[in-house]
Amino acid sequence: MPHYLLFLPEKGVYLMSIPPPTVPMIEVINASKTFGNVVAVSDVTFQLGAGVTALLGPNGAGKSTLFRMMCGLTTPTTGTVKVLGCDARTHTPVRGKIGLSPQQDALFDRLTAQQFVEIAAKTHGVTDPTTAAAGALAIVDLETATGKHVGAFSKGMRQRVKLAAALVNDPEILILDEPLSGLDPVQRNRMIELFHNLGDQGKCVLISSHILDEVARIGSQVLVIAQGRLAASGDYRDLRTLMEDQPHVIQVNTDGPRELGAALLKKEIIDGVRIEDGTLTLTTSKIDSFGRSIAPIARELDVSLTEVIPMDDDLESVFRYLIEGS
Amino acid sequence: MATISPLRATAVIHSVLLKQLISRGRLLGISIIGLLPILLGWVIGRQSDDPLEAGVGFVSYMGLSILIPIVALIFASASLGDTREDGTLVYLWLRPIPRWSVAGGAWAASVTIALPLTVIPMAIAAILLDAGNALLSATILTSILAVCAYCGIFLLLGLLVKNPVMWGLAYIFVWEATIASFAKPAAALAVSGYSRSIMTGRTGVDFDYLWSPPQGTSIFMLIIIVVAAIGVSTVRLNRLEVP
Repeated sequence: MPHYLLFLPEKGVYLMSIPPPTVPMIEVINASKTFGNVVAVSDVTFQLGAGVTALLGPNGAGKSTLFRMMCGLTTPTTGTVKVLGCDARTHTPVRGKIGLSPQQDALFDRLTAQQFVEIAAKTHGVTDPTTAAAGALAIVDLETATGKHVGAFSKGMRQRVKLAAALVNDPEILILDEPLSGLDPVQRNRMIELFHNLGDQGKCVLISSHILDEVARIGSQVLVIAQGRLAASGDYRDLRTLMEDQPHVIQVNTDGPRELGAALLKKEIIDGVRIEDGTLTLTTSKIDSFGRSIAPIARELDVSLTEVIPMDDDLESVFRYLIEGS
Repeated sequence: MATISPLRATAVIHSVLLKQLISRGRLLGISIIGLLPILLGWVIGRQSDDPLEAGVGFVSYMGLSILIPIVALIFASASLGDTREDGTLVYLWLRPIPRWSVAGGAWAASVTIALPLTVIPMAIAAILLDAGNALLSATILTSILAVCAYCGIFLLLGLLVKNPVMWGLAYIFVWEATIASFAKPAAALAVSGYSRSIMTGRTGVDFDYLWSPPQGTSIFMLIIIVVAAIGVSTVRLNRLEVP
């Protein structure tokens, strides 16, 4: 899908944008949601078609509120939110085309995994709910735990049961709120692969996360939300490039901070250096070059590296770049 | 697209919520409370000169004013109230089924549990009172209708307020037991007024109640309360901000 970059100098905001899909499956137009004086979502507009999209934002950014508005669980204070052209709150049939895995951990704890997913299948009118539930549980690798009560499940298993319940009706729209939290690395890989397969089948899969690296693997298409506002949307690689254009701050703990700092400056790998209490803090725009050079240079100088800590390679810094342009 | 009939959906909701509502602690606690009317019925039956009049008074106050509303409160307020509190309501709400199926299923689940826990001890108490079949049949009929009506009211309460048990107890002991005893308009808005009038009407025992509509009117009103409560609960579910 084509994409382009847009720079708004008056706001210092980079917006990566993509042309709207020809057939929007999810349509959010100027949607805002306030709770009393708190603005949870502010004037958000985007359209999504088939494929996997990651909704990236720190905790409290408004991701779950946005998801709840899409599913009709809460109404937007202003603006409109439509799924497959309908408001899920008032249009009963469209709710049968949505699979939601909510963020909250609560399940019907007295039901077994099979019963829990079967209930979802039954209430969606699935023809053979028992087989469908068993199939959905197998997809999330829970086929050996179908008879166990979900109340006794670990967080990872609960996540997968929720996912199975969201998948059981083969929905066109999948809205998954932090579905990878609590999963081990193997399960994460399995689930990410599953999301991609679903996206390739023409389903609209929207997944929220607050972990940047996770988002990189979930989908190339991202929506970035911060403080309730849509900070950026588009291809993840553009976001990454945008981040890489910003100077990175790195803390290095070493027994030779002066020698190491001077050598890195001399080779023009870093832009600036500060030594405080024996700790080296560096600024660099050449993060790849820095990563390749730091160890050989330390070896040349015969200094030990105890720790190399990226100070700003986290989500907050991405948002800072995107929102403040700093 | 596959669909499910509203009645089938109601049955599914009923079965889910029934499983959620039944806990060993709740059942044990309420079963022990249920022993109290049986014991009192036996004592009163042995000591009273007029067991029918004593029995009607006992069933009216012990059963219809205390045991039945409290048991109905515990289960009906939790049926959807708990799902709203813990966030599981989304698994019932975001489905292509009519909202009245959710409200109706929840009401049916609470009635399914509350009925045996109240009607059986009250029926045993009526037998031990040894006042004949009139008292027994009146007790069973009135208890069933009262359970249905209270479950409707407390189902709605669970969707309206954050602490439905406290509000429900206030309704039972302040509104029904106190205010409705002194003010006729308040008595017309109390389940116990209608259920007691069915009790007296069917047994022929005439208590001097402030509010005593005809039996048929009372039965009709209790059914109206159930329908209205499920209806308003459906509207409430439509307007609810689901967590």
